[in-house]
Parts: sequence; C-alpha cells; structure tokens
Amino acid sequence: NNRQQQLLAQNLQLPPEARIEASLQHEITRLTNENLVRSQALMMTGQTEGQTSPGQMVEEPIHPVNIPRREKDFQGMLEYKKEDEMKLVKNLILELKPRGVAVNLIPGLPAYILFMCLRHADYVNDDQKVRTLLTSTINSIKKILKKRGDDFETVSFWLANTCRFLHCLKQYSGEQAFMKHNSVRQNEHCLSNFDLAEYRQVISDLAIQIYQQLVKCMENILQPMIVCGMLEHETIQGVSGVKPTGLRKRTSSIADEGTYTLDSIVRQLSAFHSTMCQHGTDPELIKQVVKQLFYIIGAVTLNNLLLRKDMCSWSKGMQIRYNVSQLEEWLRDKGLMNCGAKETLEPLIQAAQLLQVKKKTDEDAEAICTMCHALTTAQIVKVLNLYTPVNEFEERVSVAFIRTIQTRLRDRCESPQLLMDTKMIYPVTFPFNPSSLALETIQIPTSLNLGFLTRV
Amino acid sequence: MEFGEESSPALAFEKNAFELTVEDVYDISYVIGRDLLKISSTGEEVSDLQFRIVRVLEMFETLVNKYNLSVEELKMERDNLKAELDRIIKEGSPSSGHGAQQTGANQVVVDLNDPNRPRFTMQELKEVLQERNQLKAQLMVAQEEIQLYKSGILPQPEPAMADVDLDTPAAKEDSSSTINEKTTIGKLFSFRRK
Repeated sequence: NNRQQQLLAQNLQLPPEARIEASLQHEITRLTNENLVRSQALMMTGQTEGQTSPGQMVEEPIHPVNIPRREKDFQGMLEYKKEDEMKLVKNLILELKPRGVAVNLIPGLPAYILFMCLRHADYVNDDQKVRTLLTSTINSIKKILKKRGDDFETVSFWLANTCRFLHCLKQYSGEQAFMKHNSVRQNEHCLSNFDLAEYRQVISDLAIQIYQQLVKCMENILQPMIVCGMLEHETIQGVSGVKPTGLRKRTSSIADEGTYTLDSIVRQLSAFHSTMCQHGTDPELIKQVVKQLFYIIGAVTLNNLLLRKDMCSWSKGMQIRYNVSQLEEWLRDKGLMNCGAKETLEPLIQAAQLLQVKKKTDEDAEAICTMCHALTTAQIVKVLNLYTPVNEFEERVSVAFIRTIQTRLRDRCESPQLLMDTKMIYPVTFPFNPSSLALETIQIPTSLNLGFLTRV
Repeated sequence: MEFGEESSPALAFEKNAFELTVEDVYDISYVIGRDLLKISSTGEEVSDLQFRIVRVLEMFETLVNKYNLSVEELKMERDNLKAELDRIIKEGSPSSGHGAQQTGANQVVVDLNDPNRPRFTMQELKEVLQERNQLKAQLMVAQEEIQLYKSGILPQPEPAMADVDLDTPAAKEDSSSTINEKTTIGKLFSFRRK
C-alpha cells in the first residue's frame, strides 16, 4: 500500500497524458499480481479451509468466483457495465423507497453509491460513461420529484441525497479548498481525470429546486393547522372573552370536533425534523428549513389576525403569546435557537403585544411606536381599528389615538402593503459539509438489488 | 410539554416482538446506524459489523413483514369461517325457535305434534299381538264348528250353539269340554286354553 501511495504521489506530479499512461501501467501490474495471488489462493483453498486471516471478508454470495480481498485493498469505487446503467438508476433512484433498512442505517447511502460509480468511470477515463451517468442521475431525480413531488418523505430524502452527492463532488474534486478535512485515504480517492465543476453547478441548481418543492410540501401539510392552532383553539382557561370559542385540554392533538390545536403544529414540526434527521439532511439545511417554516406560520397567522375582528382582543393577544412561547420551547428542545426562526415571528409577537398594551395616552402611543418596529404602519393601524374590547368597561381605541400613531410614524419609508407575503421563500444555501465516511468501507446491501455492481 | 417522545425512533426497541411493524424495523436501523457512527465516524473499524447488521436487519424486515401479512390473512380467514358458520346455523333450524338442540348418540328427536309419532312400548305391543292371535284362533274354531253343524255332520244343534264368549270362565269350561268331546277340531284345539 505504501507503494501505491508513492506511485500516486508521483502520479499527481506528471502531466495528464503521462499520468494516464502511468496509472494504466500501474493497473496492469496490479492486475497481473492479483491474478497470480488468485490462482495461488484457488489452489490453497482446499487445504486451508479452517484458516482465515482476521481481516478477510466473508465471501459474498453474488460472486462465488471472487476471492474476497482484505478491506485495505478496496479503492472505494463501484464498477458496472454500460448496459446496466438503466438498471442502476432504476433501482437506486426511481424505485428506491425513502425508508428502508439500508438507507436508514447509512444516511446518504444512495449518494455515496452513485459517487463511487462515478469515481470508477472517472478512473478508467471514460468520459462518455461519466456524462451519461450524471445525466441519468439528474434526470431520474427530476422524474421522481415530478412523480411523487407531494410526498414529503420522498422530497426530503432526495434533497438530503442530492446535497450529499454535491458535497462528494466537492470533497473529492481535488480542489484544495475542499480537502481541508480529508483523511489521507480520502485524498487518494479524488477524481483523477475529469473536472466536474460545471456539473456541480447543475446539481446545486437541482438541489435548490428540490428545496423549494420541499418547502411547498411542508406548507401544504401545515396550512390547515395554522389558523386553527395558533389563533382559534383556546388553551388558556378563564382568559377567553364574552364568547368563548371553547375551552379544551391540550392533551389531544386533534380536539373532539376534529380541529387542529397548537399541539398538532408542534407534533408536525417534530415529525418533519425527525424525518429530515433520519435522511441525513445537513444540520445547516435543517436550520434553514425550520426558519422558513416559522416564517410561514408567523405570516399566515398575522394575516389572519389582520382580517378578523374576533381575533383582535386582549385575550387573543395572550393566547398568541402563549402559543409563540410554546414554539420557542420546541426550538430550544431541538437545539435550533440560533437558526433565525424566532426572529421571523417578531411581527406576530409584536401584534400580540399591541393587543395587550394600553392604548389611550400619548405615552402609550410612544411606547407602541417603539415596540412595533417589525410591523408596518398599515398593520398597526389595522390592529388598532379592529381591536375589540372584552368587556363593557373597556373602550374601543379612539380615532384620535390612531391618528397620533400615524403622525408619529409618518417618516417611515416602508411598503403600504397590509398583508405579509406568505409565499416568500428565503434564498437557500448549501454550505459545504464533507463526510468522514471512508468510501472503501462501503458494501452494497442485498435489499438494494444492485448485485451487478462490483466493488473495486 | 414533551416534544420528542411520541415520534422518537428509539421507542421501537421497547415494543413487544409480535407487535413490530416494518416501520419499527426502519427506526431501529436508524438508531443503530447512529450509534455505530459514534464509534467510528469513518466506518473503518466497524464496516464489516455495520454491513452484517444491515443484512440481519434486512432479514428481520422480511420476517416482520411476512408475519404481519400472515396474521392479517389468518384473521380474514377466521372471520370468513365465522360468518359462514353463523349462516349455516341460521339455515339449519328455521321452525323451532329454540337454540341448538343437542342430540347424543343413539337418540331420536320426536315432534310431539306429529300424529304418527311412536306411542307404545314394545311390551304393550307384544301383549296386544298375543291377544289378537288368541282371538283369531278362537274365531276360526267357532266358524268351523258352525260350518260343520250347518252341513249336518254334527247332529246336535245345541252343542253347536256353544258360547264362544271368552269373558265368562265358567261357561268356557262347560263349552270347551263339550266341544272337545264332540268334534275332531275341538280335540285338535283343546290345548288352546291356558
């Protein structure tokens, strides 16, 4: 192995053509040696049945003729015949279930397998193979997203694997910037013949597309729960106004009449989080997803509040603040306090506070203007107009007060829009996240039906 | 409020073996994979172990799947059989409003409303038949005697008028002795009386 390392070190310093020749020469030598070893081993098997050296693998049933090699001799590549490419993408992408023993135990496994196939095509200097493999991969992923684009699990699974594939392309590109955390062995596994930077861009674009689809998926699931759970369902007993919308215990996530509660929302968020973790989604990406989800929850809730008189009362303000605190509690529980999610709820929080503060004097007006920096003037005015007192002792907000507020805030330059844009998606980035996984240790589980791949 | 508990994949480890589903097997796979990663982030030291575990869990998945399918199939079959049994029982006894009638071995069910139902014992039947036979024989003797007297073989009309009345034992005695003396047939049938 030392010899291999020396050779490779020498290799990298030669010009491309000589490099290819040298590696071919090396390959020929290696194969010849291997054949010698194999023919010897075949002769010996009859006599040395009981003796297996500690590092030797158990024979794989798919290739009875293969003499198992020691771990160290695998180079982390997978060989396949060109005509098997369709089968490869079919079994590994199109028909692969997002939940299974192999993919659950080793998150990102499909990505690693694809990359190992790519590595071999690169190693044997077959640019056609490299190109068709990449194209088929990208097209198959797009196909599966079209076919099952509304299934959260599928979309999340392929976002995670596409990102992992992208990280592999960078990590093993041979570019210094991406090799900082590589082991010596991993550096040996870098692509030797082709520069795939352009494909990296294509795959990055694909990942963005998948991310947007994922957000849409999650939004569709959450949508029916938001208004119910954040505004309508009442959990704080004794706080409701003249007409209580019903007091229920918060133990069940779906209350008796089949309505959603805050608990439903929290459970759904947990389910999303758990699935993304199981798929091996990058933690940085999970943070961005959560931030986006919280934005949607905040925006939908606020918009609803701005349009409904019955939501603008002191008690509703209380309820909203309680619900928000529960969401924050969830963030804390998942270690997501610094992902920016909480900040997206500021407008909603401030609206809730606005419902609760005094709204009479000039000092009150001053306080409100300072406090509601995340709300537009239009929004503040609307809330004040809609504000409904809970009992007969309280008065509605006076027109004069509202005018005072408007005067104080007239120097603001902001959009006159009342409602928040619920369709806005924060731009997503995929920070480089190299893996410490050693490619030569990867074996192909039987359940993936990829027996036509050969470990090299 | 507990956030993680309900959806925690580790809960699968605490389930009863016979209640496992394939989804539980996948959760188990995830947890084990995560634990292996803690030991070796590169996978070098544990790779053989890791992929053997994958193989075992794949087999486990197959078994759990098969088991659950079999349970479902058996349940369906049991329900079908139950339904059929109920149906047959309903058809079997339409007239009687009672439930199942239990008849043991060598027993007969008798409908009490049937006019042709069996009513008499063997003993009763025997006695009646014997009596009939006796009466028949006596009748034949008497008829023969009448014939003989009519045809003039037997000259004395009086003995011919002998009583055949069985009910009076005294009369019987006299007439039987008279008949026995006068007729051959009487002699033949003298043993008749008990």
